[in-house]
Amino acid sequence: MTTFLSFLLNGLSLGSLYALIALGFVIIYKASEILNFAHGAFLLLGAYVIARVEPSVGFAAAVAIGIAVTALVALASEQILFSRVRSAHVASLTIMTLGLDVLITTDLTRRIGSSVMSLGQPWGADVVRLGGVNISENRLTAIGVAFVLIGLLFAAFRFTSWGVALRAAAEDPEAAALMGIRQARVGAVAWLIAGGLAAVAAVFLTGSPTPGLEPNLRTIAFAAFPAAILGGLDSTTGALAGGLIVGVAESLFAGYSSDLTFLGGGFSVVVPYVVMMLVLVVRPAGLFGTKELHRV
Amino acid sequence: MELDVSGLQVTYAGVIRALRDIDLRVGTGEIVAVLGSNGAGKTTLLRAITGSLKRHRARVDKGQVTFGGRSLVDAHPADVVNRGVVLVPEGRRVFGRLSVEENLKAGAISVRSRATRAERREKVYGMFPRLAERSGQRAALLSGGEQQMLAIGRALMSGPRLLLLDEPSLGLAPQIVTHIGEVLRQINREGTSVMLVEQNAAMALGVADNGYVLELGRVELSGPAAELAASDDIASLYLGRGHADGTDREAPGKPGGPGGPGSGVGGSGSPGGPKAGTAAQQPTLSRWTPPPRGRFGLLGAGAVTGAGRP
Ligand SMILES: Nc1ncnc2c1ncn2[C@@H]1O[C@H](COP(=O)(O)OP(=O)(O)OP(=O)(O)O)[C@@H](O)[C@H]1O
Ligand SMILES: [Mg+2]
Repeated sequence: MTTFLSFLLNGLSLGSLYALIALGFVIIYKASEILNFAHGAFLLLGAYVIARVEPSVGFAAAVAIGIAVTALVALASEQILFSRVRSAHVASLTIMTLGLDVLITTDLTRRIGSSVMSLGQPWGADVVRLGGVNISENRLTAIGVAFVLIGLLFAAFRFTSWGVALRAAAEDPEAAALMGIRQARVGAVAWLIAGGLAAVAAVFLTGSPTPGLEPNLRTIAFAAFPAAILGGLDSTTGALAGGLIVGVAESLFAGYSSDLTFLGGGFSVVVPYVVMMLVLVVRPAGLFGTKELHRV
Repeated sequence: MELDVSGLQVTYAGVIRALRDIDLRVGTGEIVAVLGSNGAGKTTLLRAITGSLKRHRARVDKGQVTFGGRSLVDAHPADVVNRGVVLVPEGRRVFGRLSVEENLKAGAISVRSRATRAERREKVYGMFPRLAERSGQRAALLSGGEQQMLAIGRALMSGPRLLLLDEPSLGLAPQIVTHIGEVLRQINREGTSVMLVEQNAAMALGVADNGYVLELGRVELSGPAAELAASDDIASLYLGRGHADGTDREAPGKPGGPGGPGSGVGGSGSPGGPKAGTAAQQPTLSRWTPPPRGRFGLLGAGAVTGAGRP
């Protein structure tokens, strides 16, 4: 039982990080109709910047710098690449994001090399006991931080002018423009926020029990894509639910893998995709999605 | 502040000429009705005014659109709103997944002051109590009439000096259409000019000061609304009144009118009814008004001036 709870708690933690990434992916999609496959690269960038500046400025400042740089790079890529070619086909734009992903990832992989960089998280590898369940302090902090940020984002979505404008423009861009909503501005803010969230997720994804920053961080972050899609791609609630489902499922399958050898080793890696496919077969628009994905 | 459209020519995708040589004016404090059948170019005219042509791959080839003396051609839609011109689009286009209140908030996006937003919202709720009752409900769940109220209320949130409406009566019950007419009068009394695009000529000419009739992308007829409403042509074509003794006024010399046949406007359907007499000059009209034998020229009603300004 306690092992189950432990797997569950770790899964929730992983899931809340996936949710942070998936939320960024979803708000970019809602604001710009672009599937941003460079999101994993943004994450890698955030982690790299933090790891590089941490020794000289300390952890807190490093995180702030990492968030700022990643947010600005996300904004810049939107401004330089995507907002100019609005008229291009959605598929072309998506491929462009893949190109950007390869570009950033290749460069960072070269810089990181074969080393494992540390982001210098002050909580290190400490483990907390919570009602008989062991969890790394890193994973526990992740849950707290992620849920605070997600709460703030949901509030912004609901109550701020930006949130209303984004939802209006996502539903009917022409009518939104006729009401004076500037989609370009709404989109720019969305890319900024998404970039910042990716950097935050990077802090925790590179912490214990993960040894540190390695280039494969990007592939870990990839699990957030099926999370976003199974949640419904254009739904923030869906991104949250999808992230948690994928995180918990992955953690449970990894935890019980010794009992599930008939599935083959490393099945947990494909779990996010299997869950996504199962959900989409039953609900093609995803759990909370309103649009079928035919536009992509 | 007045809206001035002069010599306006608009082309879609570089080939489909939807408007040609349109002259039209909405004076300060006026209500102006723009009538025309399907494909006449009414929506295109509104797109030209609101900066929405680009989105539809159309552009202004010639002519001018000015509001308060400044050009609106190629302006961003949001800038047009900031200048005080806002559109209630065809088909209402409320944000169905947003609540009524959020729709109003979306309409007020150009308004900085929170106090002004709240004040306008209360005014809209005062004008449409139904919306106040349903403020938390998703707009998609409103009835058609309520959605039209919301679309109008949403547009009013920006505090427009000129309110444009694209067929607000479409698909609504007669009482609701009457109500919308009253609401527009009230909005106008409070100082907003109104340009009302309609196929429902009875309502539109009932509330308007002046009117224009668009056919095949041209102004076919214009004049004071009362005179247009009294003219036999409008009566027979738009008000559904009979064509009593139409025969004795058979084709009173429409001298190869400007909007000749096949003037390059595409896609609006071909004449469905029998072609007789001057029928070919008004192909779109024949689609929805069964042509009475031999007569449907628009011109000829004495009191009304020909194409051009009132
Ligand atoms: N996006 C577009 N691309 C190409 N042609 C268009 C487009 N929109 C309108 N048109 C053409 O322009 C002409 C005028 O259309 P418009 O929509 O302005 O007419 P309308 O008077 O608003 O008609 P309705 O009463 O049906 O709304 C039509 O011939 C139409 O086919
Ligand atoms: Mg129209």
